[in-house]
Amino acid sequence: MHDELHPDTQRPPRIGDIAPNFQARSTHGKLSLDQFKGRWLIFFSHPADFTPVCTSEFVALARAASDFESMDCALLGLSVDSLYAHVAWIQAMQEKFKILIPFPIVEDPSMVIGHAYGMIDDHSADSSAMRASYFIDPNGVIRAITWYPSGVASVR
Amino acid sequence: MMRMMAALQRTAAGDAFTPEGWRPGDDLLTPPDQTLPAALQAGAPSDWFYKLKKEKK
Repeated sequence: MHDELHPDTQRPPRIGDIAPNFQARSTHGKLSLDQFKGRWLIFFSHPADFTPVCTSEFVALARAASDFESMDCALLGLSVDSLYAHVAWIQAMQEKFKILIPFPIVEDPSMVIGHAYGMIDDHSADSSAMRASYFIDPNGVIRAITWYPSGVASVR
Repeated sequence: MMRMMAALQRTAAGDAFTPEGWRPGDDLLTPPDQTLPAALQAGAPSDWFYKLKKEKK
């Protein structure tokens, strides 16, 4: 049972922990988190495709992609939506904003990754992963975590 | 922290979201209408999920 005195033994990862590895399908094909080792990585979740705040963030990230590249920092998105939704959303953004999302977006329909990272849990009101970002160093260690609510875009 | 507080206070009523890079006074995002008829009536196909509006002065 989950309560204050007896928290779940499997707590969400915190700063200083190794980022839980996973394999998943993405818009760039199958990938695993550990293939990013050797580079910095920002791994971020969003509540759902086709939502206004996420759209504004993804377009801004796409426009800043070369800046992240010059910092040798990879970008990786995730939501519970299927690859089909990811592709349709990327197409819609390309048409509206004339920019292609250059980084992969992982699908998490079973929410297994969201659970492992504490983006969602059994107490969540719905399946929307929160707006969480994990800043992961070249050794796979989490160096910073930010959480934002669904209605407020995170700071780039 | 001030920007976060301003964004939380501005979005608390549920009538607007704050986009990437938002500062107080900037344009806001309109919460999408979640019915098909409303989505079909939006101007461009993408207008139903991404529409900016001016902050009222």
